[in-house]
Amino acid sequence: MEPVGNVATQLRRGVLEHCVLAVLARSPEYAFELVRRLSQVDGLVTSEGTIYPLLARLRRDGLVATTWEPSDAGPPRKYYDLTDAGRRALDAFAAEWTTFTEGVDDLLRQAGDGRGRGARGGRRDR
Amino acid sequence: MADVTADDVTADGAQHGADPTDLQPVRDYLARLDAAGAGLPPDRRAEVLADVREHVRDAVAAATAAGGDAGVAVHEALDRLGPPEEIARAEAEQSGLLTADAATGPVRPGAMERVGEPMAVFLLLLGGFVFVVGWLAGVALLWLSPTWRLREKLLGTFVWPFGYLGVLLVGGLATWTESCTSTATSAGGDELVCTGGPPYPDWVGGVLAVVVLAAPALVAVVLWRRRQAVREGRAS
Repeated sequence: MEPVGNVATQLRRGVLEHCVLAVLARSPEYAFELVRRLSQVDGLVTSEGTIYPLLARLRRDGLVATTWEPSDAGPPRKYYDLTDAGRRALDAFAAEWTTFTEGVDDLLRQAGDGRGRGARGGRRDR
Repeated sequence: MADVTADDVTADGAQHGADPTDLQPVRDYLARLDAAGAGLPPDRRAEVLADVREHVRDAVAAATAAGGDAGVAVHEALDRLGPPEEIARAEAEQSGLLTADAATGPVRPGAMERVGEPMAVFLLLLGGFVFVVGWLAGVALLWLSPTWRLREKLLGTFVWPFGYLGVLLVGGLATWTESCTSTATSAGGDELVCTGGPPYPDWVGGVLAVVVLAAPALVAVVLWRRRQAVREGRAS
């Protein structure tokens, strides 16, 4: 596997669960809509199916809660919402993320050649 | 693959008269997912299957509501879900059955988790009776398992060495130092007179016996519960 692909995988791994929390912080979502919203983030989701085990684990850990909502057409659907613990976890992550990425961006900018976000003559990575 | 349309499907009472999860490609996909998840705890596997089924239903509903074709929507949804093996692997990871760095491959908790651990518990208790080495094999399996922590491994090894074989031997020793003879009593019956034996009163012996007998069983329970907690993701 190319090193670049591996880096993206590692980054994704650490961040995906907090992205779930972030989506739910905006509003509760049905499972399907939640998954699709996450897929819209470039590079965040490789296979949508793997999000479901993550959601189940977040529920076990008490970070999200599920309810069954009746639906107009067909069986009831799973509805996800953030718990207070989930909100706290998201806040902690957001603080860490900001500090961390600011530091990394700084390093990249200093590495020159337009690396890092907002660098002079910046080069976008896609 | 044959063209599939919503009309091919038996109505299940849903508003549009068709459940896309009855379509063959979905059935095949779910069958693959079921197989890939063979090593998962049954409730985990069932929930993942239910989630994926619901996802396909919703994907098709969304597509057809926007005027799309159900058959196309099904294929697209299955593509986007990704390989069933990856989903099963993700569930195993999230349940703590695999480390994130485990090599890719079909997802099954290793032989150690599925077979080795129950074997370890059994051998620790009774393996001594299998030419003594059975207990040693149990100890080896105990220490090799990633599920149990040091404290549990120490408990399993030292309570008691050689399991119930050890208990028998020690118990046998205690009674072996005793010698009992049957003597006729003046009342005409026989009386059992025992001399020697352990230097503590009988009632202490009784309590000791209960403790000694119960301890390995209790340790087995501790090992088993720890294993269940790890498998259910309640412990790391």
